[in-house]
Amino acid sequence: MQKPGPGFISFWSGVILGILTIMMVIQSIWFDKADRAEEKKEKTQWRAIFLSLGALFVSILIFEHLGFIISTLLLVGFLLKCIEKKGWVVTILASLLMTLASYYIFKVLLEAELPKGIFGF
Amino acid sequence: MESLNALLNGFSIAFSLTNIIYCLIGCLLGTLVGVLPGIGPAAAVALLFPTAMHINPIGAMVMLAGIYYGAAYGGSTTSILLNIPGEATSVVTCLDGYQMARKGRAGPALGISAFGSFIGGTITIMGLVLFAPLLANVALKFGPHEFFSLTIMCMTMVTYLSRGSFIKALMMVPLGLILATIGMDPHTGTFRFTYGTLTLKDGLGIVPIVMGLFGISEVLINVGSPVQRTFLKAKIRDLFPSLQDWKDSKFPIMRGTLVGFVLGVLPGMGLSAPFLAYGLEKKLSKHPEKFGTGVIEGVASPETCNNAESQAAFIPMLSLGIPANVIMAMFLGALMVYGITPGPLLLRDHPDLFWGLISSMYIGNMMLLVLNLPLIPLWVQILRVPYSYLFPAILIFCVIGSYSLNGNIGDVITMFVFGVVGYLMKRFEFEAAPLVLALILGPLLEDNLRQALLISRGNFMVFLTRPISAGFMIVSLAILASSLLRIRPKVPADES
Repeated sequence: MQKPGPGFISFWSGVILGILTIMMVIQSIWFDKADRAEEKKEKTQWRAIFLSLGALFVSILIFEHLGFIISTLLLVGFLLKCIEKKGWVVTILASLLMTLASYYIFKVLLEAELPKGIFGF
Repeated sequence: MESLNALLNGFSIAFSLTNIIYCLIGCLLGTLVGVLPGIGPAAAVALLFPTAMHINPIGAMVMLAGIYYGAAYGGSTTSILLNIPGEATSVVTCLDGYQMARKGRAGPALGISAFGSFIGGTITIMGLVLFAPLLANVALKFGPHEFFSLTIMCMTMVTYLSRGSFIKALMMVPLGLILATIGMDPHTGTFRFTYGTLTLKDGLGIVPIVMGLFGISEVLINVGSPVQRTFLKAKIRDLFPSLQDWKDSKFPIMRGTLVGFVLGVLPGMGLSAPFLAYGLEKKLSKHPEKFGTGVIEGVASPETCNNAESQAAFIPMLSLGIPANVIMAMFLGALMVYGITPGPLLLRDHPDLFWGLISSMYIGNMMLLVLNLPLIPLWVQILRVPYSYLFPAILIFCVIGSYSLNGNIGDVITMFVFGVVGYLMKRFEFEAAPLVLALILGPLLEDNLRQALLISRGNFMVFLTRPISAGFMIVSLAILASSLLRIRPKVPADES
């Protein structure tokens, strides 16, 4: 306690977090019964959420290997085709447009660092 | 007088052509993200953060500030025309703004929010000119003890007015502190929680976390439960409010400014300011039953308030180095990238930056008023872009923004992970703001704590025996106690 070392903040934050968690558990068991009854009724579209997350994850994995343009094309194409159920023509045109526009704005105009990938673009 | 001279000097900096252009770009981008629901000023500042690092510090700060207060202007447009708040701070504007639009009075509603924002913003900047140097002078006498206690007070305040469960909001603070310790310990050089990975050795970046928590999670929420947008096909005319409108909203604008100014200075209170302003007007009004049916006071007051609040937040950031909200925290981060230490010494060491930024805010407010009224039809057109095309674009922006910071894929993965975490937090009603504030203030807190204890040779009582520090501690304790006893004001009560 006299000389806080590197673990000081983490340790005491952890202790406080633990105490608060116990308080929350107690509170939810004894006090908040009424709250639980009014669950949200609207249906969550889990399919769309998991598909977008999965697509984003895959595109992050291939981001540095295939480069910005290809991975972004695939990501946008997948999102438009599989979640929004657009036609092929719309999907291809929109994903090309979005990819090239963002490439132009960020890479060319703003000189941001974007990965080239194995194909060199 | 000294301030006035400095301010004039600031204007000469802000009026240089490049800075005016940066200011204009910032204001336009800010209004754009304010208009578009699903991408907020926090995500926009995070996106432009890496790019802004290419230009000089003053230009960068001017532009980022423009995005920030521009968004407060733009947020009202969607609230009024679509009943969808473009920003969290425009939620209350929906109540009367949308009703006004349905009655065919969209023009005056949009007009009064633009004029109100301008008035609120300008008055607040005057307050900023007066108070920031004063506060910085006082803070020069602060030692590590005072800064430690002040940080503790900020953290308790941010949980105080959070919506939903207080315990849940409070839990986010230690969690943020733990996340802040990831990386190398600056005092001993020990690595904490890095698990041997290179990305974690530098600590978690604030920008990827903010983009994840606010950008990605918002997309997931919207994708998961698509909102049916019904567009109001009202013609927008009479943007200039009538004389009667001015009469009705004269005092609400003044009171909105005051509420916004006071709450904007206090860390973490900003989000609730428009709610309080709206509630206040309803209480003071002679016809409170008409609120919610489209009265102009219900638009003027919260819209003025959110603009005053967004600019008042600069006071603690510039004078104390304490961020009042997430975006101010990113400004601190930007200053540090330039090697400028935020805190009470900023005014003395970098007067050009300080006064240049403030004067650019005057100019920015003027630009927003002049540009926005004629541009409202354009923003409405942009709103017609369907979400199907918007959300892939937001995802691309988030990936680019987090990658181009350091060219490190690890930052993108951090963003992804916090996107999922942020989504779960939103689902289970945990607030993200206390977490981000704790994450940002964490290193400051730790550093001051250790320095203070070095000085006092490990005696913890110093935080209570030094008067200023004790004052901050007492306020924090009072906030904690009153919150746990459930006597805090209920913020969302006015929503229904």
